[in-house]
Amino acid sequence: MSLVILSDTKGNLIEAHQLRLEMPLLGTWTAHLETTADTAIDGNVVITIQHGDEAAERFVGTVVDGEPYEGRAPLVVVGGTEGLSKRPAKASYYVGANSAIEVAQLVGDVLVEADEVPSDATALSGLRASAWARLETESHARALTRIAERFDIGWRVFASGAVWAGPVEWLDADLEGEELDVDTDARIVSIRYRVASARPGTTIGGRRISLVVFTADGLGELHYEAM
Amino acid sequence: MSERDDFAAALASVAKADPFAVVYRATVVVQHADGSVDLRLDGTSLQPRNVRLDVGIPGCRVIVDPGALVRLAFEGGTPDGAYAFGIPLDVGASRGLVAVGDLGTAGSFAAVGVALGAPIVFTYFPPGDLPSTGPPGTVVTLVTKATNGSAKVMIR
Repeated sequence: MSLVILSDTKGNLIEAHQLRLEMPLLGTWTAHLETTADTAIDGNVVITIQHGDEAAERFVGTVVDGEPYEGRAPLVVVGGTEGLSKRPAKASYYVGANSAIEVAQLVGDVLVEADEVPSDATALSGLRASAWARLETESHARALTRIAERFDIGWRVFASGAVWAGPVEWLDADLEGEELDVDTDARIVSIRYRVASARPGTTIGGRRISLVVFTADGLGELHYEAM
Repeated sequence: MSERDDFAAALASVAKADPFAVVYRATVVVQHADGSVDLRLDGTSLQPRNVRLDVGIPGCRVIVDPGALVRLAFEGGTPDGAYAFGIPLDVGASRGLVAVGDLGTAGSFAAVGVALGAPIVFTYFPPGDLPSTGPPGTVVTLVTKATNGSAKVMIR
């Protein structure tokens, strides 16, 4: 059993007895929690997941739905500031000198408009576009996905809340926990984690991880890509 | 609902899902020396610049006036694939284009000497008006060669 604590900017510490935190390869992470709080929780929060004396993992996000209902307090939290779900006030069109717009500029402008924090690990040097269009009908998250799809890169929100974009490198990583079962048809590894440190975009046990799920009972899932 | 309606409905759902997979109406703001155009779109605040204009006729370059209607699409459905095309057909256009170097006629002169020592009389026949029976005297047809052409459409 893991301890899941939600802390907000008012200094409240609330224990969650249910959690399903999903971190996809592309896009922001989301967490569905249930707490015993009897007041609405909103704004920036930190979800801390700790198993016994093991290291705690902290996920910095924003509550997008947190109204108590009939003695229950279901919560939905997204990574970062929630700015990625918003749309730009107006469309924009980029034309670079000598047909070269830095993709880093495209990503940077999206994050500035979304009021999100870019990750220092963002690595986009050398990627350029001849022109680029952004429509006001598409969210900032969709704009990042457009860039990722076009240039075959990834983007996601780190546990820290910072937004990263760059080539997916599939670096080897350890599972701080144990494998319980492998469903080769669905390509899902069931795990029991000690530390919620598994991340998409890494290679764990020879498998390329595309989605990580953590639950409050210390169990989780690693979804992996077909090799 | 007809198959045509079904097809239109299916296209509409795609348009809602992906705004880079639809065609937009756009107005030309200015055309640059390289033929590319700056556009103003209907229904969106997007103002694409330096968009290539695909005329659709091999080896052809077209000069468009500000305010002209074109269409904008995104090749491959990606945000870096903008191109303009689809200049509307003008049903009032009836004059054929002449390419520089094309040969034509400016009409014919029939030259007749009416009396010895008298001036030769020249009779002019516009193109197509030369009598089929042939006029009297010697006929000279003036052949032309175009030295300039349309300022709106150029071909290679």
